[in-house]
Amino acid sequence: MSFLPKNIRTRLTLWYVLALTFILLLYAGVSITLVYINLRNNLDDQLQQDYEIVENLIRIMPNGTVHIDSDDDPYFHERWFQIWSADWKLLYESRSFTGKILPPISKSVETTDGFHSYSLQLKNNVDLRVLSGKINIDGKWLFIRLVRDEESLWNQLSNFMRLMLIALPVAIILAGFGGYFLTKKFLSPIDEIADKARRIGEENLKERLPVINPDDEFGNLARVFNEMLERIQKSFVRLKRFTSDAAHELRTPLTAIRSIGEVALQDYKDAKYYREIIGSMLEENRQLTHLVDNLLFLSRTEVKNFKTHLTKLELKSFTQETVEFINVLAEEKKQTIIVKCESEIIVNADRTLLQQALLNLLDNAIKYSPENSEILVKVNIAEDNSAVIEVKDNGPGIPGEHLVKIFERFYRVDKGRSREMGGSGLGLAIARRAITAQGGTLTVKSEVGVGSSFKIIL
Amino acid sequence: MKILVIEDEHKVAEALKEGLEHESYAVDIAHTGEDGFFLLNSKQYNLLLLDLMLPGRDGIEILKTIRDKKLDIPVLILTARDTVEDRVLGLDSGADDYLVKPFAFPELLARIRVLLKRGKEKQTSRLQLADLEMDLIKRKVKRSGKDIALTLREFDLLEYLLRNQNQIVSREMLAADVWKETNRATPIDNLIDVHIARMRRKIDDPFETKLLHTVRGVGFIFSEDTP
Repeated sequence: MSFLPKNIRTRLTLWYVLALTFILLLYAGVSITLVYINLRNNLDDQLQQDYEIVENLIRIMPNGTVHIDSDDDPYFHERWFQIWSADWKLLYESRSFTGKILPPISKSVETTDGFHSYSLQLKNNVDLRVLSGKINIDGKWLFIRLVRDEESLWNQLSNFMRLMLIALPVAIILAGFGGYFLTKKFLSPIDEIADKARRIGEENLKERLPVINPDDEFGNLARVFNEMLERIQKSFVRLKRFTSDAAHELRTPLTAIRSIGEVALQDYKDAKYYREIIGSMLEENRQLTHLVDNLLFLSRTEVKNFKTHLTKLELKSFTQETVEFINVLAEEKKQTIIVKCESEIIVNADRTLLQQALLNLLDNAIKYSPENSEILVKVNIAEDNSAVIEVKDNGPGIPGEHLVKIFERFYRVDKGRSREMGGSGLGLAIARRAITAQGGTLTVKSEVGVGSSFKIIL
Repeated sequence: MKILVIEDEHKVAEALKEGLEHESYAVDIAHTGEDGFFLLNSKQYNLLLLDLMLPGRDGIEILKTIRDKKLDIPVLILTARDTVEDRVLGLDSGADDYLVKPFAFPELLARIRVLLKRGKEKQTSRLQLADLEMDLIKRKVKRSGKDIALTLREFDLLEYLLRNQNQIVSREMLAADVWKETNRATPIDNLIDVHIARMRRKIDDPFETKLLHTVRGVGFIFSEDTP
């Protein structure tokens, strides 16, 4: 709406003034009509009184003519009236009619029973109010027609309208100004919020917007924005920590490559020695490559529109195949992986992602369980109809304070030991992403000294 | 066999040239898309190694121009971008194969051999190295006339090693071709190492001549000679 002013304050005032004008106009219209009706009713009442007086003045002479006892009426000379016979003949007309010609009595309306009142405009713009009635005097039917000038009615009405015409714009202008200043007062929190928000940036994310009145709309708005700032701040902190964690992780193989290379160049050695050195550098390079591949996987799956390829998957055979795939690692530690699955379970899942998650869980279970122990993989349907793959080990367990953090990237319970075992600190983060990306959840329960249990719930 | 490498990273280009020349290919290098395109038009090549992220004209553009001009040269894309969409775009634009950086050099050689039809697998029922024999139909393995019992996976692994004998195979190649695991974020290196160790126990340990050798940092080689 380009014709509206841009700023809300002016716009609010404008709408307010428009609404007020409309209401006042409506009010003026209604009150003018009411005043008019009231004045007209007064006039009709006066005519009615006139009628009752005139009614008593009429005498029928023995010769059949009409006589008016004007002596009985002190205001007789001010009254306008006509008396018509039942056969539409004018029998009498009061003197005040001089120079004013009334149209003849209307046969269809005025001669019916009862009273009739109506307004009438003569040719010279004189407005009149008329009352007519049928009356029987001494057995003779007559029509009495009384008239009063409407001039004073219209005068009063136009005075009233003039008053309105002056009072209305004054009221509207005053209300407009009042509204403008009130809006300014009410909208002032917005300016404060905007002012503050403009100054909050990457380096002072800790600051918050002012909440002037926590119960009103602006207070609510500021609060909602503050909650958003809180979330942004948290994700910033996470991102920063992640960046520094990642840099640290990258540093380890980089340091190794550098040291190996520098030490190798200290002396002249034979080709076999250099082959070993280069091989060792390449091994570190592999570590780096894995790390980068894992990070890429995480960042790719964290995108909101990441596409999974859901297909119908039978969990029993899938789990057996996956265990078969990795079983050789358990055999090396003389561990037994037992798969327990009562019946076939069909789920909609992304096979690659699910296998990746399960492999990571199994890999961890094998790594952290002692030799000759058992690892239990249980597949079943939970009470809420979801499919569950549980990986339960007899490892050392995870202490409670670590439990909430083990799914975070680069989080390690025992930093030295995990790296020694070739872990990147990303396995569980990847497993969880692989599951949540397809709408499932990955949970953990653990008891120190007893073992851990990871549940993939689909 | 002449190979053109279009790669803007000088170190990578030099390494590729040296490595490929060691395998007796003739190699030309172009560092920009324009230079590469000029060379393609002026000389005959058997294969193009194309980096996708180039200054000036990018790899996909060059690829499209080549295919528009109906140049019938096999193209192997080398790129750091490896989403499914990137692969599809590359292959749709007319590439014959796609290799994600950082790649293992033995894998590059294997792919090149396939593209040049040199490494085409022979339809054969027997594979052999020294006194080790594999019967693909009966699925039996013998060394020095003695039967060796292998698991399914071990059999597949040994078959792959025999088919690629005297060439280095990387763990990535084994993961993709024997374990059919293409997800790079699923490292199965330790799994492969365990299988290799078991294989050794069965086919090498009881015998004088060792066939399965580890090339540290690179992978494995199945050969009578020690590398």
